[in-house]
Amino acid sequence: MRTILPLSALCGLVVLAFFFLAPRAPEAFPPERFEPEIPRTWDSTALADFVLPLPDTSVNVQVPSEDYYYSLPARVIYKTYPVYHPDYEPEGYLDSLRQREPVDVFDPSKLVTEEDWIRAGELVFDAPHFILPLDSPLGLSGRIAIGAPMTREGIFPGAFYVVTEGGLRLGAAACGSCHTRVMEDGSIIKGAQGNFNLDRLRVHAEARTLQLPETALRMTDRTLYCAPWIDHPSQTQLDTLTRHGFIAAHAAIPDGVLLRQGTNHAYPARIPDLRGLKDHRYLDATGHMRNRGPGDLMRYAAFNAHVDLLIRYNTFIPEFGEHEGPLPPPGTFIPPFPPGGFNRFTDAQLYALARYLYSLEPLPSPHRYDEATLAQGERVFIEEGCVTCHTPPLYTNNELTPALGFIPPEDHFETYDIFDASVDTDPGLALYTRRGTGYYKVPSLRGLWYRGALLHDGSLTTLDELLDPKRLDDDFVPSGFKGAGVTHRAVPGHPFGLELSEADKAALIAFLKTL
Amino acid sequence: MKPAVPFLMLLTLCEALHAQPQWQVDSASVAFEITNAGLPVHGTFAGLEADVRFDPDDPAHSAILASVDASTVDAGIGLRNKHLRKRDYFYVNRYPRIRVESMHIEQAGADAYLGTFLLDVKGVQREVAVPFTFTSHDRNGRLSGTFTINRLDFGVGESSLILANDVTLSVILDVSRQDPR
Repeated sequence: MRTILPLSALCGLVVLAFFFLAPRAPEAFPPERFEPEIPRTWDSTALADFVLPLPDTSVNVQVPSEDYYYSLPARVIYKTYPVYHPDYEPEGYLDSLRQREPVDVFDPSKLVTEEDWIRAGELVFDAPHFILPLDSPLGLSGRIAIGAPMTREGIFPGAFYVVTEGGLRLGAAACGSCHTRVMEDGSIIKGAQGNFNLDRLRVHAEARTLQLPETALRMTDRTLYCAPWIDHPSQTQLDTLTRHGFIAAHAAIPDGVLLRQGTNHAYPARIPDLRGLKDHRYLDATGHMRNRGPGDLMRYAAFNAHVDLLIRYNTFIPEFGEHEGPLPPPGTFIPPFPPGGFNRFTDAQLYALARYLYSLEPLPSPHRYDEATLAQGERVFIEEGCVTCHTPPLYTNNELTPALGFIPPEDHFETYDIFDASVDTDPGLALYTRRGTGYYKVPSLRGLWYRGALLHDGSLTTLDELLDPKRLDDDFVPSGFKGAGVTHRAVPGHPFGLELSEADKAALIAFLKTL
Repeated sequence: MKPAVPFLMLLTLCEALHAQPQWQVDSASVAFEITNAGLPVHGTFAGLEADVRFDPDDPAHSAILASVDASTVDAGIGLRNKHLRKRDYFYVNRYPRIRVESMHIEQAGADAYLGTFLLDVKGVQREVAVPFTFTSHDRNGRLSGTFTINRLDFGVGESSLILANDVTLSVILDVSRQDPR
C-alpha cells in the first residue's frame, strides 16, 4: 500500500527541515556597556559662569555650596501610575494600586546601553516633584474641574499615582507636567510646550478647597517671585498681596504660560519647547542659564527643582526672606514651599534626564502646502529679515537680544552671544524678575506649528495675531496673556511682517507652520 | 641737502593738485548690495562729504577724498538698520564715518579710469581697486564707480551661514565745476 502523506504533514516536514538545515544565527553578543562620564552637577567652577548675571550687577549672588547641595536628601524615582478620568479608569484600579509595593525605578547599575540611560531619563522627566495626599485638589478632582487636557486613553499627563512607603499618593509637578502637550486628537508630544495650566489649577485648589490664610498665600508667592532689590511695582505689589490679588494674578495665566518661580505676576514666562534643546546655547526666555552640554542641563534641572529658592541675593534668600546667617542645614527646617521640603536629584538621575532631553528632536510638521506657497513664504521670511535672527537650520541664531532699555556691559560681548539690537518687546521679564538677565533669547521656530503661546510671555497665541499691526495699539485685545484685570493692551515690539499683503502673510504663515 | 628733496616733491604734488579742477558734489548716491539667504539686500549710505579734484585728462595728478555718515546706513528694515549701526557691524558710535581716499588714478579707456583707493571702514584701512567712469558736459559731470569688498576684511559682521561676505558698492556723484574756468 502506498502511503500518501497529507499536504499538511508535508508542509510540516518542510518547516522542520528548514529549521534544522537553515544556517544558525550567530550567537547574540551582549550589548556593549555604556559607561557615561557623568558630570558633577554642583561643580563650583562650572557654576561660576553657568548663570548669567542679573541686570543689576551690584547684587551679590551666592548659590549654595557644594557641601550644602550634596547634603540635601537624594530623590527616589518612584514607579508611577497614570491618573485616569473616571470615565476611563479601569475597574478596581486604585484598589489594585493600593496592593502594590513602592518601587524605585532608577537603578544606574541596571543601565547597560546608552538607550537605557535615555529611557531612564524619561522616567526622571516624568517623576513628580511633589508627593501629595491622594485627595489633593491638585489631583484628579482639580484636573476635571479645570478641564485639563487628557489623552485619548483618558489619562491626565503630568499627574500620577505613586506608591510610597506611606501608601498610595498623588504625584504632581514633574518636568513633564508642563513640557507635555496634548494634541487635539488626544496624542501627546513630550518635550513640547505644554498646555496643562498649573496656575489655573492653583486658583481652583485655593478657591475651592485649600482656603489658605492670606499671609500664607503671600508668603508662598513672595518665595516664588520676590526680588526685593528691584524697585518696580511688579515687585512691591507682592508685599501687600491679598487673596483676591493672588487669585486674579494666577487666573490671568493662559495655557502655555507659567508663573514659574523667579518670574512675577506681571511678567510670567512662556513654557519653552524642549525639542531640539541640545542645539540651544541658552535656557529660559531670558537666557538665564547656559547650555554648554549635559552638565549644564543637569545644573538647570537641579536649580529648577527648587534649589534656586536657596540662592542668596545680597541678604535675601527666596525661601527665608531677609536672612543674614548661613543657610539652615537640610532637615532642620520645614519650608512652606516646596511641599515635602528640599531634596535633590542624584547626579546619575540628572545625567539620564539630560540625555533624554537631548534626545528629543523636533518633529516633522503635518502641515502640507503647495510648493509655490512655501517658496513665496520663504521669500517673505528672508525679505522681512526674519532669517537674520531665526536662521536655518535651527531657525535661531542662538543669540541674546538686549531687552528694551538694557545696555549690555562691555565684557558681555566677549562672554556671551549678543545680537546687539533690541526687538523692543516688553522688557519686564528680562529686567524686573529674578530670572532677568537684561536679554531675551532668540527662540527657535522649529515646532511652531503646535505651539499655543508666542513671544516670551505668551501674550499672543497665533501667527495671524503676531503679524497684525493692530497689536501695537493700546486698545488691542491680546488672545494670550494680558495681566490681571487688564482687558486690552498693546503688544509692542518684534515689528516684523506687519505690513504684508494678505497673500504674503498667508504664505509666510504657511511656511512657518512647516518648520 | 637730502631733507629738502621730499619737501620739494610734496610741494610739486601740492602744486599739481592745486591746479586740478575742483568739483562740487551736487547729489550723491552711495548704495550697496549683499546677498542674504540667497536674496539680494539693497542698502544706502547718506551724508556724503567729498573733496573732488579731478582732471579727466590728467588722472595721475587727481585726488578724490570722500566720506559718508556710517549711522545713515539703511538696508530697508528699521531694526536691521539699528543692528547695522552697532558694534557687530559698523559700530558708528566709535567709527562715525566711512572714508575713501584716492592713492592713484589712471586712465583705463575713454571716460574710464581705475583708481586705487584707501578705504577706511570701522578703523580698518585697506586698498581697494575702483574702476569708475567720468563723463562731463559743460561744467557738470558724473562720476560713477562700482566695486566689491569682503566685509570680513573690515570686521563688519562675522562669518555667516546666510549672509554673503562680498558686498558690492556703487557710487554715483553728480558734480559741477567749482573753480573758475
